[in-house]
Amino acid sequence: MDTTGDRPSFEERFDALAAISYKVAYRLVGERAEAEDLAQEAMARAYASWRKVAGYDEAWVIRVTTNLAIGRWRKHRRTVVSADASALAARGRHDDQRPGRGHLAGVAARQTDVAERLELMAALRSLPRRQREVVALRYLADMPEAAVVAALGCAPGTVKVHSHRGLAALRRQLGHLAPHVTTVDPEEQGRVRASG
Amino acid sequence: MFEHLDDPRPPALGADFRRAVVARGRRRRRHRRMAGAAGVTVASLLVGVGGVYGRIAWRADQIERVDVTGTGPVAAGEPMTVLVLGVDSEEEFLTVTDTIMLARIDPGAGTAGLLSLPRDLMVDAPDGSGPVTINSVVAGAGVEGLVSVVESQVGVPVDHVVQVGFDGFVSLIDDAGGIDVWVDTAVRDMRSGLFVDELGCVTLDGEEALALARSRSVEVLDAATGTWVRDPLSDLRRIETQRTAVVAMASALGEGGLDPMTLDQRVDWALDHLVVDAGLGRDELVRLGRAVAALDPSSVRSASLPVVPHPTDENRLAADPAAAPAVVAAFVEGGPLAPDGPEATAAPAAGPGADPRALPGGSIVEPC
Repeated sequence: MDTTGDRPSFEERFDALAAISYKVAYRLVGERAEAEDLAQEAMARAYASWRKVAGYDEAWVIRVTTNLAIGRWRKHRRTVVSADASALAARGRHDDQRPGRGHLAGVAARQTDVAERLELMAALRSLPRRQREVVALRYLADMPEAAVVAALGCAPGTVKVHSHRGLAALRRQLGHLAPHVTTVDPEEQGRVRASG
Repeated sequence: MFEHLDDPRPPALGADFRRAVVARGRRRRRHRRMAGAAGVTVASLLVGVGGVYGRIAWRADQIERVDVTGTGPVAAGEPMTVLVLGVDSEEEFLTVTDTIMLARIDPGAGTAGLLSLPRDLMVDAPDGSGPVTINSVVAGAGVEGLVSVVESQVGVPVDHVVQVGFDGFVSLIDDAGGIDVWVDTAVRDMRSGLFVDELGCVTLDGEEALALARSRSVEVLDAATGTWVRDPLSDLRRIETQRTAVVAMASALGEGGLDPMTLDQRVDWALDHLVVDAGLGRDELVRLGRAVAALDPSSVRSASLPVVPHPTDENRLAADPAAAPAVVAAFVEGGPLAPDGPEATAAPAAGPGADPRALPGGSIVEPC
């Protein structure tokens, strides 16, 4: 991949990068102000180091956003990241006034979301750096595999391996909590079960 | 795969967002240049400590300063009244001030007082447009406006304005290895992820201290029913907690003494996290820093402006005409302020007909 040619300016890339940074941040923290702040910080860092960043800006911004989000949570040693979901949901019962979602299903979904974010963050944190990066690009930012390959500038096989291992690790940690995670790819799921 | 975690209505990240990004990015660049200068400092240290002082002085001049009419230098040794604003970001003076406190420092006597003003306190807008909450004054009338409002509330001239970003609060507390507080009921905040279920003397890191001091969604565990309840006195207790944390932060500032290397780090910190009024020059700033760092935290007197529900809007607050003047006078003259904690809760507001909201409430946590 040639990144030495015409590199886009920060201005040109701003909207796309800010949007993806916000998306990733929101998926992790689930709160608008906090997500905006994380996106702002990630973008400010990209701005300050643009010469270094340009060329693989998307991967860079997603990685920084993910790490910032995890970093903010990691500081809370006493957060309930490892508590089980039902206990968490019980604690969360008080937190159910999401506007427009006042019905019971909404309440339940909200509690599960909070729990899942906590677990997702913990799971991401436990992944090796490279796996975490691939998982963030592929599943948090929803980039197609080919785009991840291009963004990271490594071989397709490498991305596949990291993606597979990272996802398997996420399933092991999140499976009980988020059925959709385990139903993405039945074939792989079978393999994980067989091996675990 | 995580689509269900998406924001159903993502905000437009518009011009304000972009401005903030660029401002933060510039600050970051500037700071990196400063960090580059750090290598030079190490070299100069080998030559002599004088070099460090030179660099400290030079960098103290780089701290962000904004002109604020009505503020100005105070002669060395004289008591100084400083308006302390806590904000969410570190750019310029912000429009929404999360935390408003007055600090009065008497370097001669080595004493200090801290008076917090609840953000829902109703005040007359400086432009005469009627009553507004104190935390929205800066948006309409600028920091000057806030200075004049505070001066008329408290009746003492404000000499300087210092704004601290919350990140600064966090990093200073982390630098000091956290703050020790006494927790007698489990506390959580679902929004920030704060969760403390150890009781007794607990060390909080910067983020945790911030969550506790700042969040309006802190809940405490009601041991009787086993349920989490949002604290009805939330804002007032938050304020008590803030003062506990600010005093801890002030003492963190003094941690490690004032040898050149520590002073150097503090200037670094100030460069990153403070905005001050243009009248607060380098010498005075260093003097202020020294005075604060030299304080004995246990001797800092602190109180919240006594308040009652506002006559026209019970969700807002007004200064308590009966109790406020004495507290303000004590703050200005250096007399004893009502102590924090349960004793304070019990004593002043127990009179018949006292509104429960007028209770100071006490800090959720106490220093220990």
